[in-house]
Amino acid sequence: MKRKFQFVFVSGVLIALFYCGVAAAFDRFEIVSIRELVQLLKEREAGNVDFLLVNSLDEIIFRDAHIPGSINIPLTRMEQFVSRLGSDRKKLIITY
Amino acid sequence: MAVAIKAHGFHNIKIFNGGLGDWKRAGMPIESIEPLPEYTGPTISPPDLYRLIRKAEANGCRNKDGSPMLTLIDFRASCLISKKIGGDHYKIKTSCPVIVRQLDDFMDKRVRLHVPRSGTVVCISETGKRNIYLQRYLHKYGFNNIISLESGMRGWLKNAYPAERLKCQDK
Repeated sequence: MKRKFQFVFVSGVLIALFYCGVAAAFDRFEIVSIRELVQLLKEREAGNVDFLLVNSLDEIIFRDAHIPGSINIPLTRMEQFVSRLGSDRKKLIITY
Repeated sequence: MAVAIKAHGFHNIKIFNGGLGDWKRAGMPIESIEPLPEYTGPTISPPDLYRLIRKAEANGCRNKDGSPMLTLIDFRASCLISKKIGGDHYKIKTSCPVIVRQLDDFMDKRVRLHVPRSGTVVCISETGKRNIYLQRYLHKYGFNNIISLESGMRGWLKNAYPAERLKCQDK
């Protein structure tokens, strides 16, 4: 009985450690639907919410077509344009 | 991109997963600053490009009049990004000229000057999806000889055609 308890306890600790490690290795981000994005853009226009909508494609592609109200920070030139994110680290940022 | 933004200290990040494609398909309005011309450039499959490279290399990648026969444009994501997302970086193994640039580099006239206006020019992105943008952009400047490699570099590697590892230089 004691041995069984020890086995279960150790297994549980190992599983918990593994899960935490794996979870930390994968960044998880909340997904926004089209409907939610449309609503957020309306709310922003009304002054009820503030967020950045960031297009990560190349500038040539952004200039061809983008979602109205979005800014362009090409992933390939992130360091050059990261200042466009501003300094508020808590500000909501939605990427596409 | 979300991961890259998070690395700069931002934590309140969400993703609109569908991207511009889903937005357009939903009939939502889009904004344009500098629309690209409507143009559907020609494409080439990896097997056909392989045959073309061999033929070109047999002729020193030049036509009899000395003009370039074949030039490649490799405009995949930077080596640094490829390295960060766990990818390895290979390039097509060829002795023909290869222009290695980012897509946005072609906004610079000095970069476009290096793109031959004669001969075959094959553009290569990671999966081939962005090729059309380079074709349309260069078409705006009178280039009609830009051909898209179908399935991009991944298609080339999947077919196990000659490739060599590209050494990433940390920036």
